[in-house]
This record gives sequence, structure tokens and C-alpha cells, in this order.
Amino acid sequence: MKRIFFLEHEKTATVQQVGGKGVGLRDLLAAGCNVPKTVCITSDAYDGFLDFHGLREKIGLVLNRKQQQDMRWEEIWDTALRVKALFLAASIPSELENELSLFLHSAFANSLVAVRSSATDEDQAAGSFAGLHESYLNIPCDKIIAHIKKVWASLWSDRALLYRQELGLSVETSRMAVVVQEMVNSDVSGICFTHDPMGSSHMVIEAVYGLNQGLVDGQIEPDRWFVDKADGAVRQWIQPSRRTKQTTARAGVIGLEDIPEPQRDRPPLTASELLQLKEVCLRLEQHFNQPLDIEWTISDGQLYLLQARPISTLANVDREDKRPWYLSLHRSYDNLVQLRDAIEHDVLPSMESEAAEFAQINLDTLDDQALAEAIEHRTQRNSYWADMYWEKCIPFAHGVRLFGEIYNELLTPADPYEFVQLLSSRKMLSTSRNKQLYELASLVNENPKLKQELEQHDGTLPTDPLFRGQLDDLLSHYGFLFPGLEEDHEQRLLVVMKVILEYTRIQPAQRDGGVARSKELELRFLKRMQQAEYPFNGEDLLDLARASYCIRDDDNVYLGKIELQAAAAVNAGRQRLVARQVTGAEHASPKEVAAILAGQQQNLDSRPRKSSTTPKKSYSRVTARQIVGQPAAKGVGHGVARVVRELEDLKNFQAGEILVVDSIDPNMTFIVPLAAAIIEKRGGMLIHGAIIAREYGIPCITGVPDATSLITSGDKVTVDGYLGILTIEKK
Amino acid sequence: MENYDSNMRAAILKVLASQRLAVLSTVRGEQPYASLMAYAHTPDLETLVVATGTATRKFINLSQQPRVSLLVDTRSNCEADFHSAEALTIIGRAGQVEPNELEMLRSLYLERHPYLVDFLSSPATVLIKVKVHHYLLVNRFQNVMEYHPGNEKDIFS
Repeated sequence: MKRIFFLEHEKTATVQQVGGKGVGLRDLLAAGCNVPKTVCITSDAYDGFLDFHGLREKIGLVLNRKQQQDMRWEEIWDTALRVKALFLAASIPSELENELSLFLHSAFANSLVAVRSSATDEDQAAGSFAGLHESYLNIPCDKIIAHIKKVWASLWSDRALLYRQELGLSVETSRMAVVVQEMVNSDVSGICFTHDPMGSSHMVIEAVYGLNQGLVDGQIEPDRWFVDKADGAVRQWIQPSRRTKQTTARAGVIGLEDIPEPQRDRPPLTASELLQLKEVCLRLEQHFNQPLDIEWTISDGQLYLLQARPISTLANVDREDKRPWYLSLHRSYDNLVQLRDAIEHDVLPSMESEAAEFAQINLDTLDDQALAEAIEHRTQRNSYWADMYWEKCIPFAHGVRLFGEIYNELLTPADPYEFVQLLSSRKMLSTSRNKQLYELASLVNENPKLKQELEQHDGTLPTDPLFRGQLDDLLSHYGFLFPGLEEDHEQRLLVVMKVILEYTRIQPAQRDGGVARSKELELRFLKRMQQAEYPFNGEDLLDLARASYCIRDDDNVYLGKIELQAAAAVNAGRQRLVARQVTGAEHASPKEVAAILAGQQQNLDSRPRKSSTTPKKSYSRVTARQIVGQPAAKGVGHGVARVVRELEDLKNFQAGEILVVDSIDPNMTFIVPLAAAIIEKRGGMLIHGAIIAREYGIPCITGVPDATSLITSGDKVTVDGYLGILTIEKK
Repeated sequence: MENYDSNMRAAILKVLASQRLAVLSTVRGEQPYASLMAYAHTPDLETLVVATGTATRKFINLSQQPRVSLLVDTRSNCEADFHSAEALTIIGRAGQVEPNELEMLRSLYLERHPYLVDFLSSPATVLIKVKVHHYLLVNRFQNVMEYHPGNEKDIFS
């Protein structure tokens, strides 16, 4: 079986051999179209590579740790990253490499090429999911083979995994062919839909200056023409708001460049070019007897067709599923730099100062009207900042993702999460807070009288001035450890004392692996970045990734401060209503509290109020013995489980217990150093729990389905943070 | 919780229905002994039924120590087994079939294995029921869930 050939020589190549894109190009060639020089590496080469390294089952094991529909977007990304690492770490067998290399050199010795994915599953249905797999532009001949491997890996990209079922993606049957096409020096490029996907009867032609990349990525707004298929007349022409940037390939790097001044006022296509495109595309639609989506480019007045595929609409895709939105948050380096600037210089400082302003106000001195206004205002601000968090902070988390992908491509480490070791050099608010708790605990340990006072639990607070001073300092910096717990100040302090007492039982954490190792990795990374061709340098990328990693934890702490102030106003309002014996006031919503205080409402309606959230216990015949999650922090921990469902449960947490929780809220990270291990239902390597567990070298497993239901406080649990497996011995 | 129960029951029934043979482990003294056996199960999952000759080693073992373990799995002897195969370990107690249940269990067994009618009819063959204490279902390579089909706390006590 041939593994590489010129597409024009293989007129009978099948979709199983050359994939969907390959077959589309085969048909364009057969229809006599002008297509750049194209070589196909068949899916047999992909198969050979997988079989040589026994990769098929390794991929199978990674993919099947959890049911795809139960995965969060971060877990899908983790899975794709792990699969890609398997491909990157395996070398192409020498016999195959020699065969490909000889052919590619004879075909493209002095040219730059596009290395494109062409999956064998890419049939009519999969055509709807454009952009699932990777393509690389402007690749010199000696780097084609390295990119072939990346294209193979992209069969298992995060986007492809998300639609795994719809695509019928399977380890046993899915394969990837690769199309290598000579780059055309594009003056103008675009896409033609021979039938308007939005429903009009016209043909839609989109065009941009330069390469198509910016248009496909959505970075550049195109000129768009609606052309009458019958007479070729332009029925509508939508110009972009501005025509300033184009995608170009210069010195081996694809990037955005300014469009020269005189061209900016001119649409990329002339009337005669539009007409020519319309005729070619219409002829193809008739030839293939179905509406097509055709990618084209023009170089030196010559029209080339780059690919053609049937237009189809998205079917059977859950529109409520938010994961595609998350996975679409691939951000460019430049965009991430802008986000960082906004977050560091605007969003976080503004949150901080607003929370501080709120804290200045003594709510007890406000009259009812003023308190009602404060509740409304703070609730509104809270939701404003929550929106801001989604708009800026969540997308910025992708700085880590960008760094991780580049790190793995350059260094192909055995552990695909090795890059995380480089990220934790900045101080995080949560670890700084915990450091203060350690300091308070060591004061207690050094002072037996103080320790005795704390251990007495007689409801009085220690009087030691040094201790009280440090305690006040902690609380003024970070607020009460349990925001939302409705207890009086004295009671709250006693709870904090209990936490400090638990801290006296543990040793301050030493970071596992040490600073020297991460410094060594950093130097290795920076050296490789110097040799690589990215439009930014290694130091800047690392700095950006560190900010992204750190802000991912900190942003919640800032948001928590605003939430705390909003909750304080609502609680103050509730207390007033309770004192006036308003029935149901304890559970009234912020809106209701404000309305009653402002005199707009007299009473609460009598619907049942939400009470305790503790689930009802019912007898089950099912118990979990061993559950597989994702290994998120290395190490093995053994101890008694403490299932934390609400803040109240945290108060009883004892040093050495295993923390079992749906999701570690950054406001509860003070408990982490006390835990022997962490089990989190929420999945992902970069979620707060995982970040902080790694900081303290505490074994952690994330993405454990139903962890808080299947494990009961008191069960003996062993956490294997290397393999992501936890074993339960029922109490 | 009810959801776990019904999902787990369905998963166990699926594995049991997909196979004809189980590995039966008996013991003699301290020595375990594994044998391949045709089996059938009751829909309530509380009982499995197997048959053997009375002169066999396993039958002698069972007469002395009725505690048994069985293994049923969906492997197909290919690489993909590691991520896709499921294994069901059954822990239970073997016992004599009572006269009032003989006809029902015999039909259950023959419905599943009609080709074994001669074997079962032989005076030297005995039908044995296994009262299941619990099942352990292993999937996704290392995921292990336990299911107790009966209400009794411990059939071994």
C-alpha cells in the first residue's frame, strides 16, 4: 500500500486512504481546477506509526478514564494534551521517515508548504465541525515531518473530543491522512459558499487581503458579497468596519501585518475577479451536484482552489452545552497580553478598592432606606464583577494553556504537566494567607500557656497581645476565613482559633522537587524558545503564563471580597427583619430584604424556604471500592475522609484528614495545608484545588465522579496522586 | 442513590448476559483452584447456578468449603480490552439446590445452555446454586464498584 503520493496521480484514492480533505482535492483536480501542488500521506502511515509504538491502546486508556459527557471542558483539554504528548514523545519509525523524507524532498525541496489534516471520518456530517483538526502553514521542507506528527495528534484535539460521539471518533477505526500543499504567495484569499448558509438564495463570497488564516480564525473581518447565481449581479456588499490588517507569512512566521495605506480603501476583489470566482464556484457546485464551501486564493492574478467541501448544518449538537464556548477561548499571545493589562491594572485593583470602600461603611449606622440601597447596590456590583470575571479572567486563564502547549511541543516531556512546575514562582494570595496561619500556629506552639488557652475551648479569646495583633492583621488583610457563615464576631474568632490549633499540628510545607529543578526546566525552556520561531520570546511567554496561573487563583479571592461585602449588607438587613419578627426573614432573598426595608413590601410570601442542603441519606446497595479520577498532584495519601459539602463542615476539619469536596473554592484554601490528600469532584489540572495542592506537595485527584456522594466522612481512603486512583475502605 | 442502584444493576446484568462462561474459584485447604464453568443467573441477581460432576475436584472442594468467587468478563483478547473490557467478580456461597427450586433453576440453566441437556441429565451431574453476597464490577481499567443484591447483611454469618 502506497503511503505517500502526488494526489493528481491517484485518481481513485478513497476517503479511507486520503481523508475528507484529500478526496475533496482529488475531485477538484478531476474537475480540472487549478490546485497548488499537493502530496498526500495516507492514513496507512498514521496506522503504521500507531502500531509501531503501541499507541492505540495508550490513547484508548487516556480517553476512557471517564465518560465524555461527564467531562468538563478543562478535562477535555487535559485529555487532548495527554494524547498529544503521546504523539510528540514517539518518533516516526525510521523506515517510514526515510520514505516520507525522500518523497517530500523531491517534491518540495525549496518551497514552503501547508501541512493540513484530512481525517478519514471527515464525511458529510463531520464537515459541519470545521476547524477540529490542526493545519500548519508556511512550513519549510525539513520541518514537514515534525508537523505531520502534530497533524496526526490533532485527530484527538480538544474540539474533536468534545464532538467524539457525533463524529464517531474511535481509537479502533478513526485515522488521519495528511495533505501537504505548496504555499501560494497569496495576494487575496477567501471562502465562497455556493449557497448562503444563512438561507438567502445567493452565493456568498468572502475575501480578505493576504492569507486565509485570519478570516478562518475570525481575527479579520472580510468583505462579503451576496451574488445572484443567475446573472452574477452583486445583490449586497457588506464592507468590514475597517480594513487594516492582513495575515502574511514572512520569514517563516505567520502573523498579522498592516495593509498598505492605498489598499485599505479598496475591496480585495475587483468586479471581474468576483465574476470569475462566481463562475468557477457555480460550475463546481453543478459538477458535484451539491452546495459547496470552497477555500480559494489569488496570487499574481491566478486563482487557486485550496479545498472544497459540502456545506452542511450542525445537527444533533446540544446548544445548551457551554463546553464549546470554553474550548473556543484559544487566545492569541497579543490578546492575552491585553487581557492581563486590563486585569492587573483595572479589574483587580478596582475590585479591591470597591470592596475596601464597602468595608468602611458601618452598616449598623444606616437607616432602613440607606441599608436597602446598600443591599441593592452591592448585589448589582457583585453581579457586575462576576460578569467581568467571565469576560476577562476566565479567558486569561488560557495563558497557561498557550504556554503548556508550546512547552510540550518544544520539550516533549514524559509528564505532559511538567510545565506547571515553572509557573508557581509568583506569590499567590491564598498561600500568603496560609503562611500567616502557620506563623500564628508557631506562636502558639512556642507559648504553652497560649496553647492551653486555645485548647480549653471555653468560649474566651486569648489575650496574648502579639497573637491578637497578628490575628487582627490576618483578618484585616484577608477577611474572615469562612465568608458567609452567619455567626457573631466572637463566635467567628473562636472558629478561626480552632483552625489555628489544627495548624499547630502540621509542619510548614516544603515545596516538593525544589526550586533548583524548576530553574533548570526554565533555562531549558528558554533555550529552546530562542531556537524556535515564535513571534514572542520565552521570557515574556513565561511571565504571561505565570501571571495567568496566579491570577487564576487570586481573581476568585478578589471576587470573594466583593461577595463578602454584598453578603454582609444582606445579613445586616436580615438581622433587622428577624429582630422585628418578620416571618421567614432568615431565608429572604436580597431583593426581598431590600424591598421590606424600603417599605415597598410588608411581608414575605409564605412559600417554603430553602433549608439545609445536606442530602438525605438513603440506603444503597452500591458502594465504591476504587474510583478513577485524574492525577492532579503527585504523592500517596492515606487517612480518614472528611466530606465537605458546606462551609459548616470545614469548621470540623482536622489535620491529617482527606479532604473530599465538590470543588475547592479559593476562599477555602486555608484548609488545604491541613489535608493529607485532596479529592475533588470538579475535574481539571489547572483548577484551584489542583494548583494549591501542588504548591503544598499534597496528593490530589480531580474529576472524581460523585466523590461527595460515594465517599462518607469517616471512610478510610487511600489517594494515589500518581495514577489518579482512590481506594475506599468503608467505615 | 436509587440511580446508582439501577445503573449498577443494569451494568451487572449486561455483563452476565453477554457471557456464557465464568471462572469459578474454590479452595482446598489453603490452595485456591480455578475452573471454567457454564452459568446462569436469576433476574434478581441474588443467585447464580452452575453444574458439575460429583467426582470433580471442584465439587469436592465445594463440599468442604462453600465460599466461592466467580469471575465473568467481557474481554475479547485484543489490545482494546484494557480500556473497554469489564470484569465482574462475584463473591458468594455455594449450596445444594432445594427440591422446591430444582425445576426453576434447572430451566434457567438449560434456557441459557440448551446444548448441555445431556450433561445436566446425567445422574453424576449436580446442579449447584451460588447465593451472591456481592458483586464487584471493574471497568475503565481500574474503576471498582460494589453491589449487594440482597438485603441480608452477611450470608456468611
